[in-house]
Amino acid sequence: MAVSYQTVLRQIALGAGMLRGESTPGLQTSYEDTTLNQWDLIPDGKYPLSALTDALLDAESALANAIADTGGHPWRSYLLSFTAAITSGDVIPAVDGDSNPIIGILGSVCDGEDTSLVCTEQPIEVIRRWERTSSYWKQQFYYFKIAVDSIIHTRSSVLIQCCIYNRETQQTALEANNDMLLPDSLVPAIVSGALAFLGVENAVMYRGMFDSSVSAIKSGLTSVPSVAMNSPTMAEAIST
Amino acid sequence: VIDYKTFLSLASQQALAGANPLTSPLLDIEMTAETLVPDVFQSVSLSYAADAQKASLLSRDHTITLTDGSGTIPDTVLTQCKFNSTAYLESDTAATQASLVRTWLDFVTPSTTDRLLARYHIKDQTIYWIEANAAFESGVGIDGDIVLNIPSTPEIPATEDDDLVVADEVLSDLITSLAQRLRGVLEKAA
Repeated sequence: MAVSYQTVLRQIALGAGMLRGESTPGLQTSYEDTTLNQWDLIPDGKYPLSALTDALLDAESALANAIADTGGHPWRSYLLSFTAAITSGDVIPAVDGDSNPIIGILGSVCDGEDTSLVCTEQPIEVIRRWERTSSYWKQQFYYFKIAVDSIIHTRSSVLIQCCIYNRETQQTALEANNDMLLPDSLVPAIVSGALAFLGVENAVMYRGMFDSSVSAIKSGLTSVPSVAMNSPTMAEAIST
Repeated sequence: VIDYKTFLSLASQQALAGANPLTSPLLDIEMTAETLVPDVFQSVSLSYAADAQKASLLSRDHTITLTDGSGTIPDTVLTQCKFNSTAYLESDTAATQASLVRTWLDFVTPSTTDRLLARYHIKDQTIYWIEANAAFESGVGIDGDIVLNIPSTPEIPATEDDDLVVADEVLSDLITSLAQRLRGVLEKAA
């Protein structure tokens, strides 16, 4: 079962020393609140709830970018989408077919009518020659070339596989306590990233852990370091 | 029988034999392969046509429309093999074979015996037809379709999914010949 956004948010709140609770049972009560709200946080804390959610989404988007920047990474499947149909010569869109922003490097170029037919990159000259003699060919050719910002190809239309990240969509999912977008094993990375972005005590340590995670992803690894909860922060929360 | 795209893929794959499939310039060679097909079909066909024992492997039916007793022969027909041809009126359910008359003089002035069968004569790209017991009269004759069976260059299918209609023996030679051409092995002109 996937981890919910609220589970991650609770860990961030705990790590930031923001969970309300005058004792461990009280802290447990706040920690177990299904949907974290302002009343679960200490009243005179440094961070409002919105800052915690923003930090979570900041960390998530940074990890999403790292995944999207890494061609062939298996976690790209969590972010995959397709552009709308593109005819030859069109500019490559900045959004997918549902208007979500495209991030990272592009994936496969597929036939517009059958995405199981992946096109092969060819020199521009080959595609230009095909265009000039298009009535000659009996065969179907599945060729493309990305030329700066545009794509030319030999199909009536193509779809480009791409990664997307829509912060607004994820904000809505977080508020609805839906499952997180990325794989469960990235929870420690998101928590450490959010704590680093918040500038909590030992933020440098969290930053290091987060950067390690990003580096691991960019090198194609799917295992990231786990976050160590800061025990002084826990003590601080209990003493509040 | 295989379709056209399979034919091109088999020849391209055969051309790749022994090459590194990751780096060979023969990858994605189908576009080049298709441009070589007419030449390969022609050269293989001519080599068959030159051998009387093998020419019949290239035989296939052509429906030709006659107007006033004559019609145009398709470009794919190897007219030099006309003596291996047969023909009949398409409307004749019994497919009664007509008689090929080799010389024009005999065609237009047949003997009494020769008149008993319909007869045809091939001159360049035109086929002439005279019904049984009919006399030749320039510009006069039947309208209708005949079926001419004659050695022919294989027809390039209209689409990649259409079958390549040739005898199996010819097919393997076509594949091999195209593969050799793709590998840069120039064949001796037929």
